[in-house]
Amino acid sequence: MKPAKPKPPKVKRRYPLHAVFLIYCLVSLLVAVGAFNANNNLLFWLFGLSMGMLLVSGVISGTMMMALRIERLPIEQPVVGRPLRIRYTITNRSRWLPAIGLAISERVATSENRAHQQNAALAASPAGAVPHVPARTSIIVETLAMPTARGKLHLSGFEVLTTFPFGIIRKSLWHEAPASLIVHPAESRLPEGLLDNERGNSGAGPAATRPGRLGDEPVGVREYRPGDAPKLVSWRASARRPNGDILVRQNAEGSPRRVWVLLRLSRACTAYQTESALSAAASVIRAASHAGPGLRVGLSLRTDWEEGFGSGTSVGFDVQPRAGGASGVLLNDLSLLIVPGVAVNRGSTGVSGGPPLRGADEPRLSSTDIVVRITATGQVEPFAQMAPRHGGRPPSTAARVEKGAVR
Amino acid sequence: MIGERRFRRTVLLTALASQCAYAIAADKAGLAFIALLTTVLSWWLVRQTLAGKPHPIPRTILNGLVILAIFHLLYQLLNRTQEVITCLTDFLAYVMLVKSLDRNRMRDEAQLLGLSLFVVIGALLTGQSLMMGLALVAYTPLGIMATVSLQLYAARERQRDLLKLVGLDDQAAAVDAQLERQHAPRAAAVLAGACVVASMATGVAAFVITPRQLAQQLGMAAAPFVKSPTTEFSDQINLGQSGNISQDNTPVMDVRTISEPGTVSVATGPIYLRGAVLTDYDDKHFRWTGVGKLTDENGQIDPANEARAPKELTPVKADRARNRTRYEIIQRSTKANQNTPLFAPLQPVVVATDAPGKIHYRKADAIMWLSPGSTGGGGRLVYTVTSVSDYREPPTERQPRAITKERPPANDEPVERARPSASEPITRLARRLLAEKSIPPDPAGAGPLEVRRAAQAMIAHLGTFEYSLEMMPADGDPIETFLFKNKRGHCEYFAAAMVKMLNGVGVTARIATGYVAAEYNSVSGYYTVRKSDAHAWVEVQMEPGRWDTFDPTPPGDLQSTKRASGGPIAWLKHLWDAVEFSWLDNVVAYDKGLKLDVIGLAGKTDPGETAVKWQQRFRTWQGWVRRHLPESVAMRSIVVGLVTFGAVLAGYWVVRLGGRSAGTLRKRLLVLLTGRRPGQTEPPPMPADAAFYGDALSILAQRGSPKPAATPPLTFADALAADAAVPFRVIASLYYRSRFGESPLDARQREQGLIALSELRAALGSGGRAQPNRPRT
Repeated sequence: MKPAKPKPPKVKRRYPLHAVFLIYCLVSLLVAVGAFNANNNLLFWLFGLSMGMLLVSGVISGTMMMALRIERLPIEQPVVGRPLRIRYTITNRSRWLPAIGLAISERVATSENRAHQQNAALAASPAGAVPHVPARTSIIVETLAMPTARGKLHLSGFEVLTTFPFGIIRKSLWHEAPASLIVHPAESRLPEGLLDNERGNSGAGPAATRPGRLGDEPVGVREYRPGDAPKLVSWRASARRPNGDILVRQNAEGSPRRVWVLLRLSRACTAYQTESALSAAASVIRAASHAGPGLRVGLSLRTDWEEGFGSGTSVGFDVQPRAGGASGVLLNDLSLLIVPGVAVNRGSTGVSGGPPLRGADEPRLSSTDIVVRITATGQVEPFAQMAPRHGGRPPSTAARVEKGAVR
Repeated sequence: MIGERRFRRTVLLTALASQCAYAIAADKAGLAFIALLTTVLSWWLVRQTLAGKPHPIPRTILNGLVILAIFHLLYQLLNRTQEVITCLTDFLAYVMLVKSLDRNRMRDEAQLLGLSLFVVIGALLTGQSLMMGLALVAYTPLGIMATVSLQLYAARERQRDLLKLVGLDDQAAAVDAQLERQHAPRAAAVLAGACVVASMATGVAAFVITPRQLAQQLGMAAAPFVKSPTTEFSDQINLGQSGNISQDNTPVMDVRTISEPGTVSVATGPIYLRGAVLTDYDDKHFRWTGVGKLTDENGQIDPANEARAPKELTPVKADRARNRTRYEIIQRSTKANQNTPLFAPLQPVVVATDAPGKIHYRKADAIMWLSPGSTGGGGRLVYTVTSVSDYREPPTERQPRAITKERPPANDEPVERARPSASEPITRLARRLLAEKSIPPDPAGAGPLEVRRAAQAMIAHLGTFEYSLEMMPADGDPIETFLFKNKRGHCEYFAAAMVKMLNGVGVTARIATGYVAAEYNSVSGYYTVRKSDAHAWVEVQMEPGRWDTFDPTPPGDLQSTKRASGGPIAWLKHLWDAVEFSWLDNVVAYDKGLKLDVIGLAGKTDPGETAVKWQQRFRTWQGWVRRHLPESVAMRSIVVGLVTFGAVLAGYWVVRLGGRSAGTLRKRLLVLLTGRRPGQTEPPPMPADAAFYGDALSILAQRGSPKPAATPPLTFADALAADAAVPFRVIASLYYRSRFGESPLDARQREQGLIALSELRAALGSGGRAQPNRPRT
């Protein structure tokens, strides 16, 4: 089978006109007319110098740009209110010519389906400057932007531009590298100890471990299965295998606890309050995710919006707690599916769980669940205010929350 | 950052050099002084800014200064106190001064550099002295280096701004540290030096090969932008005007005497170089009327002069041949679209020049001139002329005949004019002066001796007057006002008064205008003639056919006043003038002959042999262009400008299209410039049994996560999201095994790789585009 070459991003050279170039040409032309008209040799000299500068500018900037190779690195997860840093590797393959005065900018593509999709917004397009890339050197640079709204963000590519050495001619390399990002809601400060384990109150069994950690007693190895965490791969054991199979460690199973985030949104609230609620929910999910595999986080969303499904009743959805990247799914759901005051979409990106719920059904809660309720105004309420609908007894864990602690 | 301070200093020096160039060109010493003070102040302000201190000068004050400059410009333009170019350059220089006090950001530095360029253009349009050339020599590398460095620091500032925008101000220091580690300022300086050399070399090449006089050949020449200063040669005298004549010390001519065997050099005193003769006085103006006006083409006598052979203008008696002197005269600047007077002492008898075109000679006045467009590049004109000091016309033409102006004489015919006269008060004064010296009332009839005595009596009387460059307005006749009221004036008044007094007593006299060469440079061996040496004096007809020179302007001994004093300072001054002469001779007056010298064709290729065909073709093309161009000079300029711009644009597209087709050449150029060896391919060859690795890279690239070339596969896997990282790590491991292992992958391993590939595809999502760290659904 013929090996397939990775398709490099399309690179186009461009020479965008700009005012400085036009003014320079006009002035040079006037100098030439003056020189020919008055037979002024110093004007001839100035005209020759201007032509020389134009030539040198074209040669140097062209050589410089031809020697550059730019690649975009994997983009970090963007979050509202946190600088979006897109990194690139710039390699200057020239033997002697450094690259000076480069500017990199990403182009944000216009999103489709604007009405029913939450689109991200940036304070300004991602842009960066590279003062210097030495010859025969590869450096990592970044463009910076500040996300101001959660949602989907499409990047169509990036452009590397220079006006070196005289600022006369603009030369750019356009890299067509489309990418889609999901900007997550902003971070909120949560009350301390919100997800602390109080297992003793719940009367869990002996296999229980600390939250944030699954069982850490290795009991053996097994073959790799899709979905296994990479940190569980046992490279040493894998290397010993003659057939090259990847083996993963099998630890003693713990009993992960469930964290339910009950998000309640209302049309009566302002957009700011709704976003605050989403930020709080996202922060809880992130905190649960950072706690480790001992916690599984789920999301229960209810709204009193009608437009989402047209049923005339409150709508929402539940995503059952589960392991393995569930927090990312939930954050994506929070970022994409909820368009304040307009719709709660049903997983248009296929990331959310089950079908939308109608009515005021609450998820099934068990006594070992950690439940965090977030009101429509963005406040995190203690669980004691809630009564479980199923499961027999109230959960023992209550969030210790101060009113208005969520910011 | 240390480099930034150096950069800002370079910008400041660039601005100072441009302002000095303009100050020198426009003779504005005050501007240079203010620029120097402003530079010092600006540097102090920059240090304050770099130290993080607030700018001490409120912006309101700076804005107010700019508004004042605008008002000053409007005032100058409305009152026409100066040339438009001078007004505009003055304005730009003032704005530069203000701008140099407001240099907080790189944009300000860029504006300062742009302004300096325009000021330099203004300086070039104003003057061409050596000092200005030196200022330009300093300005050019400084400006280029500052412009190149600006790119570096502007990018750094932009990066700092972006960091500030996203709240990461604290990382700005890391940016500076990285630049310091990379020795970025030094790299920029080295590159700037290369740019200076390349630009200057290209500029010199363009300077050498650019065809001169293209505008004249296309018939596009218009009046020069800037009129010459007041103190210079003119072929007419306007009396009774008000104002001051400014002294202009710009050299215009270099003169030396050439010794010839068997002759005696008589040029021991100041050399009176005649350019025009003024005989007719009317309504405050002395003009060169009648025949032989400089614009008159009828005076052509020497069509054969195109052969560049010395031409004898008029026969000289053998006994007079001993008193002749040969002069080499170099006019530094002439106007290409006008007649060029050939300055020469009285009486020129032989003239020779290499300049093309025709020499015109008016025998009656002994005045020569050259046709328009006959001089070389920069208007430089070199010729030799031989003059006889005591020339006397042949006796056959002793008695002038009275003729009328309706019948212009033939070219070789002596000019005979009606006997001049003077007003009654002037005549009375002249007669009184003669009476005081016991000179007959009709000196012309009494012989040359009495004529000389009469002239000396007039000079003695005028010697009591005061010399002044201030022009005196007169309600009536300005000569009478000068003689009876003001008793002060410049050379034109003295000469006009003497001529009219001599005319009043029946002596034929005329005003000669030109230059007086009295400043001898012992270093260069030339007399340096400046614009301020422009002079007017009197020529008196001692007897028919013989004219003697008298200078009534006090002090009479011009040589003593203009001669440089002795000692080392005088020697330095002469050395400076010699260097300036060389500058003007080789740069300002660069022309076709010098071009042949530079490109090595001088003496090897006869232009008549090699360039005749091209010249004929060019003339054919030139005729076609002339027929099709509009009549208006402005329209012609616009059309030629548009055509040039279009040609450049077309050339650009041709080069670009040619570059596409010449892919091989470009690749070779790429190899040469980037260091990639021929045959080297990127990425390295893919093992056939690990093709899934290539597929995986392709999928990742399509999802917006291309693997950087310099990143190893497993390191790249770490950067991926967890869902994608695991299958990609499996794929990478198999790829390593295939590439570096002892045996190719077996069927099971290939199947495992394909499974991992499908998992990777699933992790990244089958529909739409996915970012690398997007979680698996």
